[in-house]
Amino acid sequence: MNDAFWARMHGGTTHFPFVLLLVSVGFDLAGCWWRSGIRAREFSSVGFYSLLLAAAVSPFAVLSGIALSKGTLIGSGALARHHLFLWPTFGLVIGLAGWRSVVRTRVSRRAQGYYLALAGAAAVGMLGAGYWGGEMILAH
Amino acid sequence: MKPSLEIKPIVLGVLSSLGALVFVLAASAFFQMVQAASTASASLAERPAVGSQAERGNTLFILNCAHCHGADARGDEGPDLHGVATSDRRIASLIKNGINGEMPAFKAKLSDDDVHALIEFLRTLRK
Repeated sequence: MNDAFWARMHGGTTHFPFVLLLVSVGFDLAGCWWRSGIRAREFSSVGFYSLLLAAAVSPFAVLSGIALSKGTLIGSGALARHHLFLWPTFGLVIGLAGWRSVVRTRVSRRAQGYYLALAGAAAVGMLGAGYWGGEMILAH
Repeated sequence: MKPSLEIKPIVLGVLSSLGALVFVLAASAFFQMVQAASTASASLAERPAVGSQAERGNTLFILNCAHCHGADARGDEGPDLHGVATSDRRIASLIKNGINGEMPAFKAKLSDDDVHALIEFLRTLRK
């Protein structure tokens, strides 16, 4: 499997967790905004399953990216910036998905606030990783 | 909600995060090993036959050229020499006379036979 294969794999897999995480945060915020019972639960469900899908797909994106960079953990230039955004974000997404798959809807208002803050930080991290990933493509 | 109900999911979340980072480290180590193995096998495949002109050229390359072109001839200060398409005559002229301001001349140091051996070695370097 050569570089072209891993580049295609990375391009194909990396956009799913990117979009799914943003969708998840968006729906969770909407669920928080709408305080009425059913609507809030529906939005929260979409947020939950989007996060689970993002967490399920992200290892493939990470694996193909590591293969593409031949095992480089940090690197230099745009690759280093990409990684500095990506690794904390990846850890956060998996951790939040793990937490949320246990608590489901049994969550206090305060815990929900912390969750939204961390998920928002993960979304910002994902945007940063995506931006610097795009810069690497433009540089070539 | 009781604190004990909230601590268990938090511990699980932190463990999941750590697991994700261990996954990254393991994947990185694996692909670094794959890369090292593929580089090692490539350099073994490129090694010229013992006793051949190319092998002598390899020794001459290490002594005279590797300083600028890199020990693996992949380029450093000078260019990568793998898959060079230039004619033997042109390469011989470049080695003997150098390039003004870029590469030193070796005609005082290397004989015609040495230059020929160097060219034989360069021809073993595939892209």
